[in-house]
Amino acid sequence: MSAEEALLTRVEGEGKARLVFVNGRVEKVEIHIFEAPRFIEYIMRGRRPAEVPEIASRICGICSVSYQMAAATAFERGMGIEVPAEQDRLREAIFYAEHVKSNVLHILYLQLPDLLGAPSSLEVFKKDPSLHKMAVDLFMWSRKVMKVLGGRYHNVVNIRIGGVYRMPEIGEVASLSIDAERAITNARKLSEFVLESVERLPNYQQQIRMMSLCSSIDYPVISREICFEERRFDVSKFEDFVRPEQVPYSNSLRYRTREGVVYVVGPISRFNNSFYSLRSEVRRMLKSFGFAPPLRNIHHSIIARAAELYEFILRLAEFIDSYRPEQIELREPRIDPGTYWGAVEAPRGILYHRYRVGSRGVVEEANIIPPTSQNLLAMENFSMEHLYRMELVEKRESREKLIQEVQKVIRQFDPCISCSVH
Amino acid sequence: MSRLRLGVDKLSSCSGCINEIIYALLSDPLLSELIEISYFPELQDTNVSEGGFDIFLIEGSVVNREQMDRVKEIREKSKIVIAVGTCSTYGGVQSLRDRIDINDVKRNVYLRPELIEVEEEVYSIPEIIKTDLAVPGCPINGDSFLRLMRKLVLGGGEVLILESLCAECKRRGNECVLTKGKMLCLGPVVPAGCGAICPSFGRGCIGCFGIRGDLAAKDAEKLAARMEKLGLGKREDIISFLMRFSYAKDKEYFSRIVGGGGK
Ligand code: SF4
Ligand code: SF4
Ligand code: SF4
Repeated sequence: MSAEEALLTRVEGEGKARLVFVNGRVEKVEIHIFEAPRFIEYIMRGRRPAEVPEIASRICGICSVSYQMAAATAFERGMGIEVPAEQDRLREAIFYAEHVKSNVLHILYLQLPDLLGAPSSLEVFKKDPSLHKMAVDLFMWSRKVMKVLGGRYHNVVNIRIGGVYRMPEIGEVASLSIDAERAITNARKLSEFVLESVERLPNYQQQIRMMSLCSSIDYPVISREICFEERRFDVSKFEDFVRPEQVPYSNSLRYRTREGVVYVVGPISRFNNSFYSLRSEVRRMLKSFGFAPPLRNIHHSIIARAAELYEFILRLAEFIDSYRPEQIELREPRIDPGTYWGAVEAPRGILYHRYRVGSRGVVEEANIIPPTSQNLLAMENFSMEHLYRMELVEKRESREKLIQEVQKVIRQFDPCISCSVH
Repeated sequence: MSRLRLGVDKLSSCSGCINEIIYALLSDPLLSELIEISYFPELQDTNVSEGGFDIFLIEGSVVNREQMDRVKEIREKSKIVIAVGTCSTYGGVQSLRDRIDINDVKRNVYLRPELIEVEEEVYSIPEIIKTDLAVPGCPINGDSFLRLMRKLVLGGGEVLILESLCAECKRRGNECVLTKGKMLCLGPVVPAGCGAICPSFGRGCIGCFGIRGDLAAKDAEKLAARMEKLGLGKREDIISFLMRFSYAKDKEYFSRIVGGGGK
């Protein structure tokens, strides 16, 4: 037995991929998450619920809004706290901006080289400066949106249980609309550029077992309902549906269903489960490139990402155009003893939170299951599958080449390693 | 002129500051011209650490042996080492598990706690090596970080922040949430740098930039006593607030008051 390993690059956080060879054949792909855990769930114990969204946001700087929203909505839904309509829309808009940021980051800085077979994003930008300009423009616009609506780009300060702290003035929000048209055009162009490039990606069909939140009325971002193939269940049943496991080589827990099924969360699952809730412009764009659900190739996650980029920009622009601030009443919400469940679709997939509040009114137990932890098993399986489907082992490709190919599969998941060892 | 060799690495953190670093580096043509990114696994595939670094940025806090060795190695190889972010400067939120039986902590999260290797304590970077600069913020402010980098590559000297957030808040024309709104705000003991974001959003500062470098935790505690008098909360809660991001600043002192992190 021998092994080849490599640091995972162009992902968020610290991990490595390891290929185990037996008699020259790849026997196993392992993803070692060696980033050290931070025990944030433990740190939450003894704290008042009002502090929880703030601490949760430090689990991931890139998708901190997802963490704050999952925590806040858990308590709100459990206590029957109504978030006033405009505040609710504002929070959702901040959430859309986060999805835009994440998609632009992933497509441009993490995935672009794989998509075009280039050594780095910087090389691509040198050849195609207009692409870079477009992307940076979009990136900067989403940064400005987050700043105006949420205070800053990472760890926004404007989300609390019950609503927001402040509604920006109408003029501040209107100032965002000046560049909104250009952002829409850029998002559309960038999405089209991605869709055009998809033909360069490996083209095979595979079985992907998809799980996502679902909603009968909308493309899912926040919802109480989870869909797994034909089944639908309430988010409070999530831990009855999946089970954690731990392996010696990884600091992140991994999940499969209680029946043992390895599943996938993230854009590809949302896309396949809720395609018909996307805006008609988005669906038209996809159809013009010949894409429709179901996507059955993990490399095609990027199609879903491109679609979502365009969708969320459109939603943001609609919000900006119709924004109406309302009076805010700041009160620390009453949270009774009990158990609270919440889930949102973070950019990388289902993010689940559970909190138990005791008689002293503080959190006694917290459990957080982030998307990457749920995808780790699929990442390993699909990496293996990829090597054999592409006949890379048969062709006696070098070990470096094999590990590069594995990295490409892993990047399709846009793994957020820091979150997985929260 | 040869370009300055830059390294960037992360330890235990949320990567929020890494993303602000990416923003700073990529949004300024001057930096791209004068800096060569030699090591930055989050951003690129080809990373070389041979030959040392002119500037090295470290994000995150230290929680195990491997990280401790890595930080020491970085120090040896680099001319200037900068701790970036509150995790790296003060331990950050994760240091709140300090001084609690680590086995208890592990059991709470893992099925097989014996497989997880972490130290009893969480360390900030200055506790392990000598740093040349520490830039707090959870996350850091990308724009001020960019200005700092420009200054460094152009040969500027140290920057010492001795101003409180209140000054920045006043300049911004905010209504004081502490005096007017009767809300707990840590502005008086927190360094300026974020642009007074929270007060502009009608809420008090929770101290994500840490307690000012020139203040001891004891000074901060005086503020807590004063705030308690003003009826802004129980002293114990205010202290817990003060240590949330700054625990590693004065571990001895804070742990005496509350008997451990965790709360
Ligand atoms: S200081 Fe805060 S934002 Fe920066 S890495 Fe640490 S937790 Fe994230
Ligand atoms: S709101 Fe806070 S930061 Fe601003 S002046 Fe008042 S105490 Fe200082
Ligand atoms: S006001 Fe305080 S808590 Fe808010 S961002 Fe600034 S330093 Fe952080």
